[in-house]
Amino acid sequence: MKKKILLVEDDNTLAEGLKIIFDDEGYEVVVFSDGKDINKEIRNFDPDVILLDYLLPREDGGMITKRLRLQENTMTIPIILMSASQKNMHKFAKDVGANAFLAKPFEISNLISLVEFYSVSPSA
Amino acid sequence: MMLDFKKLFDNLPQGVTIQDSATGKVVYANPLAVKMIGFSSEREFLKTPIEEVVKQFVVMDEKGKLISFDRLPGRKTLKSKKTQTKTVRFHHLQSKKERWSHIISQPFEDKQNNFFGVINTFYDVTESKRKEIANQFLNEMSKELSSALTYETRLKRFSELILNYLADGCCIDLIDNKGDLISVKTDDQMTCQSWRKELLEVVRTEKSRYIPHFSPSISLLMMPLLARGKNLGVVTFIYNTGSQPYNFIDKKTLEEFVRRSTFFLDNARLFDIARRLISQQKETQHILQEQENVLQLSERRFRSIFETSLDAIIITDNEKRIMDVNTATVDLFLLPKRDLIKKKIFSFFPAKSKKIFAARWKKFQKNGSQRGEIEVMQSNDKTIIAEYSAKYDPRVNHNFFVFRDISGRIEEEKRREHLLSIASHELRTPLASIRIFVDILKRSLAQLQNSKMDSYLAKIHEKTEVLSRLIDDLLDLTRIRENKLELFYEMKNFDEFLSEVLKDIQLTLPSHKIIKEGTLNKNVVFDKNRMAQVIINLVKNAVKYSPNADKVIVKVGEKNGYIQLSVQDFGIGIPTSEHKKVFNIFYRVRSTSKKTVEGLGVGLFISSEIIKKHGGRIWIKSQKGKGSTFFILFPFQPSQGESL
Repeated sequence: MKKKILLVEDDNTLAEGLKIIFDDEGYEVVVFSDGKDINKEIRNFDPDVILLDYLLPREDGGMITKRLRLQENTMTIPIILMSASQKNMHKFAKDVGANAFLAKPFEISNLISLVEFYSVSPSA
Repeated sequence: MMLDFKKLFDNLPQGVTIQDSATGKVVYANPLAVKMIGFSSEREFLKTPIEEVVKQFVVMDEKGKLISFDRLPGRKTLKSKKTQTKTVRFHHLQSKKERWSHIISQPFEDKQNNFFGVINTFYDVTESKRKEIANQFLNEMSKELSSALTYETRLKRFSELILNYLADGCCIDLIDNKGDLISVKTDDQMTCQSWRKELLEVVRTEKSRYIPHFSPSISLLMMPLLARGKNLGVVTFIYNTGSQPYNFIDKKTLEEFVRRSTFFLDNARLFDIARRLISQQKETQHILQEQENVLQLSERRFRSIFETSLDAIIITDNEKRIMDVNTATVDLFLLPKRDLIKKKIFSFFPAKSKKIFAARWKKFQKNGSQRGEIEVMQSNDKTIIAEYSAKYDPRVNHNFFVFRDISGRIEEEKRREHLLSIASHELRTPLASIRIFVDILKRSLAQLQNSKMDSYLAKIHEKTEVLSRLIDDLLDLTRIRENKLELFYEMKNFDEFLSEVLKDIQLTLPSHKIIKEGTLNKNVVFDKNRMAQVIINLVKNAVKYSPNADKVIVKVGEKNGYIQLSVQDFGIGIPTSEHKKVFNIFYRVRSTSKKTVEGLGVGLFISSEIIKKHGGRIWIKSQKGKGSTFFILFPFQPSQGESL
């Protein structure tokens, strides 16, 4: 069975690219442009990994992570936070409860390794 | 009683001559008359024709006008038969002696009332005339000398008077301030010098000296110039042979003339000194006035600068009490000047700043100057940030403070920082997409096995890398400049970390073998991303500047409780003069290959800042042509803000 990725990214081009890559890598990818309606989708889709952009309209990636960590059904889903902001977000990502942080622009191989790593984790 | 008239005439105290009316000849001269005319006996005189006698004299009237033979009173009476009187001056040509006579010529008749002859009575008035002339001369001389005002002109008149009336030449020698005798008015300097010995003698004795026949042609009369008990010098009268002193005036008069002249000269000298002093005083006053004007002008200028300054300027005493403020200060604190004067300067700081200021004041008093930033409270309780510069001036014992409101600037910096972070975010986001699609294209093309396409894509990939690094450098620079470079410390095994970093670099730099020497199998607290950035930068530089070498040595070890890491290349090297500069911002090593070097030239600057932040330092050892070694030394745990 294919591993599932929930991608929240408001940059449509990047989202499209990531979808192509991960489809190609054999994942099933669902894309959202903000965190508004993801709760319902998470319940239905049951992702193995959540790829979350930090800078999003309305609710930012940090706030979404915090929210998901408080909900029982999403508490353990690995979250990889991505950001193009130059600030070192590693510590921030840890503090809000994300599993990893990746600075944009990233090496695709690095992202693939990270996703691979977390999607096979025992939390699935 | 028969009177003996001849005996009577012979004994008269006046000179008497009798002329015969028929011939005009002198028929009788009493002994006094004979003597006055210059003969030794009556007989001799009577033998000499009167024309011959007259020739021996220059005869003048009182005014010095020549009188002809016919105009003499005796001659006139012979013609007119009337009594004639005249005062006549006889100048004896041979002896140069002068004699003044008042002559009364009376006709006398015989018993038959026939005109018989003329009786001339000569009254000798030489003495009184001399006195008269002497007085006249002294008066004239006084007028002459006093009409000249300065010492110089008086000296000139003095010598002119001597030459015109008294002597054939003159020298004036004056004693100067040092007591030396200096010739000032001479006809002939050399001549004057030739009697220097005699001059000194006169100076010493302060007595006149007459030296007849000093040389075959001249005689000298030297007189000291004495005035107010002071010896001013010596005047020397020079007489050519045949002439002599006291001809025109007597010795007493001459001495009086010299005495008066000296007095006039001394007066002029004193007057000159006084005038010089007065003019000096005037000049001094003028200079003082001028200086005062300059001071006033300068004061006014500084007052203008003070008042028009956009920065608040505060002057305090050493008790921190405000003595003066300018308009900008009033604008800064929003308080009128009267509310600021005499208050302590820190009373306008918020509580937090007061403490800071108290500590800084001590330092300021020690150093005499200070710069910094401090929060200042306005009268409306609004706090603003001010930059200040303080200086103590020991000459006036005042402290000068200049405050500038930089709240606006700080606000502006924040806005810029925000804009920059947005800009960087916006630059990175499309880069991320480009990367992804390059990767997607690569994957798609992999199946076609088109190596050309692969290489094109590799180029795009490479350049996105460069772009991404440029953005990073730019932002790092901004952070460093604004002192906002934040580190994210983690504890990590340094050896593992280093091996991993070097492995990654080796993949991107296949041209050189990166050799790791030494181990440091210890846990270290550091920012791994930043430390990796430094190592990557050093290794990349090493490769870049050693194009003909094939290896780079990275050595790690412990030194005196610190971690030491070095990166050695075998390239072109860096001259010693450049060693410190390489860590400067925008520094570039002058490349031997003329190829332009990629990047901003800020890599080493950023690296050095990162190492400093870790509490460490970075340096270089290099020899031109033999390669360079960069060293970094940093602690196992970054101490609080202390840099090596």
